[in-house]
Amino acid sequence: MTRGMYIRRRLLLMLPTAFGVTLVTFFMIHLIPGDPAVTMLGIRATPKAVAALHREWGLNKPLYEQYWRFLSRIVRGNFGTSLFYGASATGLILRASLVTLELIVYAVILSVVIALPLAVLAATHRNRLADQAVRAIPLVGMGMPSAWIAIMLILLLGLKSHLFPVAGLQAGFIGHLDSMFLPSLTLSLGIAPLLIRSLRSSLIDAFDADFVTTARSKGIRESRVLVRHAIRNSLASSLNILGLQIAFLISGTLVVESVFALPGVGALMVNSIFRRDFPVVQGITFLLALAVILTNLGTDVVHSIVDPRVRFE
Amino acid sequence: MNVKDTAEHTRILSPVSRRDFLKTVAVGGAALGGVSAFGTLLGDVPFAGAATPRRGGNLTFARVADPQTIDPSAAIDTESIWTVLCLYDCLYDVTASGHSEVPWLATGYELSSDQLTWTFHLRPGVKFSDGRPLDSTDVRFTLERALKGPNAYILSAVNAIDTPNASTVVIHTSHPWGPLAGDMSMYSNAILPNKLRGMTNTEFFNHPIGTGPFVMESWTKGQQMVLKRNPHYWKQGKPYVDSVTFLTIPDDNTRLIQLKGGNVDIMEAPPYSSVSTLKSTPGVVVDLFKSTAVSSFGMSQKKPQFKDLHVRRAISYAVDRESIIKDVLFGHGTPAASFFSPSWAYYNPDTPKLWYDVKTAKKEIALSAYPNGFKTTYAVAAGDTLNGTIAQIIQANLKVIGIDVAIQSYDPSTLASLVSAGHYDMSPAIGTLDISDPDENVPAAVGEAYGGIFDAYTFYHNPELLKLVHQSENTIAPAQRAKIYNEIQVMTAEACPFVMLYYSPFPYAEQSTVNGFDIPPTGAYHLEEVWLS
Amino acid sequence: MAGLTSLPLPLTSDDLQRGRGSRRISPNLIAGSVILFVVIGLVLAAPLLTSFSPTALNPTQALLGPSLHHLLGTDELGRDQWTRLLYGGRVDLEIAFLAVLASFVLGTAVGCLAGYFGGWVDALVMRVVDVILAFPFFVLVIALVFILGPGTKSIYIAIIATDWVSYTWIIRREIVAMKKHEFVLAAAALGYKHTRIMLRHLIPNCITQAIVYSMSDVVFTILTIVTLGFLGLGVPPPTAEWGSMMSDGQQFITTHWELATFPGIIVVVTGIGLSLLGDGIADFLRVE
Repeated sequence: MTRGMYIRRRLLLMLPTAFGVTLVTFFMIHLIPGDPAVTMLGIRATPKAVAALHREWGLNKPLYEQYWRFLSRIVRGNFGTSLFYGASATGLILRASLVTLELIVYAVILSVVIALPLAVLAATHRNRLADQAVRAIPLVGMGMPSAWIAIMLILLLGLKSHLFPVAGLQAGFIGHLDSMFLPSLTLSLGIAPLLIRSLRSSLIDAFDADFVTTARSKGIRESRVLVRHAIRNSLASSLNILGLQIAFLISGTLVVESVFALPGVGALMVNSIFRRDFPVVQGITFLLALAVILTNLGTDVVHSIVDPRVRFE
Repeated sequence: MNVKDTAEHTRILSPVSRRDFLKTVAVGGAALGGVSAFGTLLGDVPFAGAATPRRGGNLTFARVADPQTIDPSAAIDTESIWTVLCLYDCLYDVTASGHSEVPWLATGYELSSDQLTWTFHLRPGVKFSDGRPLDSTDVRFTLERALKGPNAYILSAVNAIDTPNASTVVIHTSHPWGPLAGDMSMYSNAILPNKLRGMTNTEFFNHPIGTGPFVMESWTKGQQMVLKRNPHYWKQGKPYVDSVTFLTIPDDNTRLIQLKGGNVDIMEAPPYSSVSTLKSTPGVVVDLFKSTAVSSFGMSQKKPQFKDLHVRRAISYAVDRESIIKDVLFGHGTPAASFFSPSWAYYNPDTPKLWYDVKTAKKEIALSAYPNGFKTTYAVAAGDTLNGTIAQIIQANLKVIGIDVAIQSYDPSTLASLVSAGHYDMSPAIGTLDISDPDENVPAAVGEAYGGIFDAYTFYHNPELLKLVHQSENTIAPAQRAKIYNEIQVMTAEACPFVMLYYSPFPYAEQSTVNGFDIPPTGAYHLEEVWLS
Repeated sequence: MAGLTSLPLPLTSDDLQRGRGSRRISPNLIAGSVILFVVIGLVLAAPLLTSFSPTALNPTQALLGPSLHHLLGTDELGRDQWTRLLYGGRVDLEIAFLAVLASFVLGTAVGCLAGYFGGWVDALVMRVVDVILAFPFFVLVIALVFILGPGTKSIYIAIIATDWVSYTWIIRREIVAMKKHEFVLAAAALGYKHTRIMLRHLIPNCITQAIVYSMSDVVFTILTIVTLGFLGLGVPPPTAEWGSMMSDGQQFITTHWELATFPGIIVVVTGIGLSLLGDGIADFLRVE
């Protein structure tokens, strides 16, 4: 199979998956008991007022008809109008995505900053004490609940030492950098262990690889070999692995945004589930699932281009 | 010393807690009108008017949630209600005691001798924030619009609205309707310009026009709302501050940090557990404003056990309110007997107290059809730590009389659906009043509306009680209404369709540079009186 | 639990060879077993280690700091935190182990059938797996708990419903690769029944992958249960559970930091034990 055929096949396989995603998305939220009209109007709403809202939102129509409307809308990239805010669901989701994207990018940068020196240390001192210590980090990191990391960081860096703001989003670039620090750190402490693991092993592989040996034999200084060749290659492949973690990253933002009161997709999602804001929940779950599918496809394709050993099955 | 009615709350600068203070009042035999005497103990508290207010500045106000809407007729949550009242005014406003109303956009009314026609006179010289004068067509438009909203029940007796001239509004009711003047202070009847100035709902509420002290400048949903001074505000020289920034910060600890760090001038709802530490923080003032809030839990009459009067009474006697107040409210509440709070008009302090008394509780359960107790559930909203903790105390209390309670936590939306259908056993409820007349809540509590009790539907049905509720609405003379309401409170307490728990205050914490922040028990902020020193 | 992609599989099928090499008992295996043994021992021996009740209220003893009498202090309802920590472990560990076991069995069975028979069964199963893996797993778990209502049963169902796909994915991949091996072809040529080939030849040879993965899966499942408890969607009160203890303690973070801190520490320790054990098992199964 050629690469072109492979990509085409993967894209075709995406269609049934995407269809399944719309089915799950739609019926999941409609199966949850609870009525958005009651949530909106309050528990004192008269049945008449509730029925009027149902008519306005089209919730009085049979489910398959609503599903069809949902399906025909997404094809045009339209998720409808938020029941709660009365604004375009797509707009709300896009605005929140920016915050989440910022959070993820910030967290990835932080986790690289944390993981890289440790991985280099471990790889250059293979099987010695430093290496053993670094290899223990993922063991600890993997089992930390992110809600708990958040509380501990708030306690230590926010409340005890007043180093960083503990919630909300401040204006301006510096404000963002400052107020997003603790949430990003929380998220990055979840990612860093995985990154340390994969960076360490790919660095070790790189050291053994031919081109590094060649570079060394050419008399290039050790530190330069490390930076120019080994690190760059290992980082690229490790970040690729991180790409595969996208579903995990997004799950992490859900908790982090709730604890730190950030107006991102995770918080919007949780709040919208609570409010039974169907269009927003459907929009977010669909987009998240799509992001996961596309990222997985993207990483596979990139991987196949970078690594010629990959065969297409 | 001359202390105005506005001083009717405890300003915590001294170690006297609100609970002690209410005891003092009770021991002194003073009714609630006497509460203001307490202000004399506080010495140098800067009440509005005590110093010369300074103009200018931005007030930052951190709140628990974002308003859902700024459309008066659609508002149901407190954040929306209190924001609505910054932007628009009602014909009447609630007094600081919460017990009656004062003329606001209206200057007064006359009631016809057949008690069916109310003639309201509008305040001259009032302008909307776009500079156009207020007239009677605005009022008629507003009320007719409110009649289509979720709070239409407030105006259920209204038959027709006439506007004989620009400054007069005449309201006809189908039968004598005692609460009408109070109803005019309801936020859902806050006055909007006629026909929304030709705009659609969406257009108008993106750039609302009102007669209130502030105009909305911007609103980033879920984050913040900025209000600026209304240059046409009808109260001379007010508001003092140039602008108000409402921040939405759901997390308690975060709001606290922001206040302590000086980023926030006023914070809503500091957790009860933090009040004593906050009180000793320099530069921070804690206020526990009296509120209309009444906490209870309802018992669905759709479950056979709770149809048994003795079961209901046994449960009420078994619940240790002092323990709840001490462990959960950290002492900042008072046990409740009546479903009227002391901040409601017509509160009856002599309502029978079915309070913690294990012996009586055991006697009552022995008299019931379930002498050996039964299994039941208590439903709370997921993430509601306060009610979750209270549920555990109630669970332990009821075990003593053989009732085995399982606590269930539902997400809030599911819980609302279950409760409104009566598909629950026990579930907590909180009732607050937005106007000076108890009629906003009484029909919902023990009348026909919504299946009974504030927000927890009990579906309790008592024809005798129902008759009294109708009488209370159709009577105009306050003395007579007081008698009826006294009887309603006694009867309800004896029948115990819901178990009354406690009355709690509105906790706020402010920088000591904030002056004139004083809210009535209904909770509207009155930020036009606030100034920064 | 975090879906497949959340965890780089510690081993590939190349690492785990069939055959008889020298088995290595690594320090990881010993350390992991010891830690887990201690945690499980503490949890099971709870009644012997404390005289307090995990649920009975004792309002006069509310919010006491750590002392000899109350090792980790008491919560706002006067309950001993050390006691709640021990009893809480019973809930978290029981759900985590049983839910993972059920996912393991279900996922392996489905993966084996899909991999072995291929064709439309395989296509259908893999599309379902793809769809479930496409969702951030927390979204699915929370939604399922909402749909099913509160309680332990819902937590089991929600976890199993999202977790089995990981095992299906692993096992199917292994089976597809192994089907072409000679010993399988030979078995088929001898006319053995499908069930015999699957149970006797295929599953025993590819199960190690799933076993190694299941150790980290238990860690992720504990995190899931704890997070559900933290969000108020977990095991209803007054039952002690690590996640809800954390969220209850959060409100006292400035005055009683120990309330939210220790439940997290025990989760981390349990996680370390399981991860070490997972690595140790992988070492043990890997041929030198």
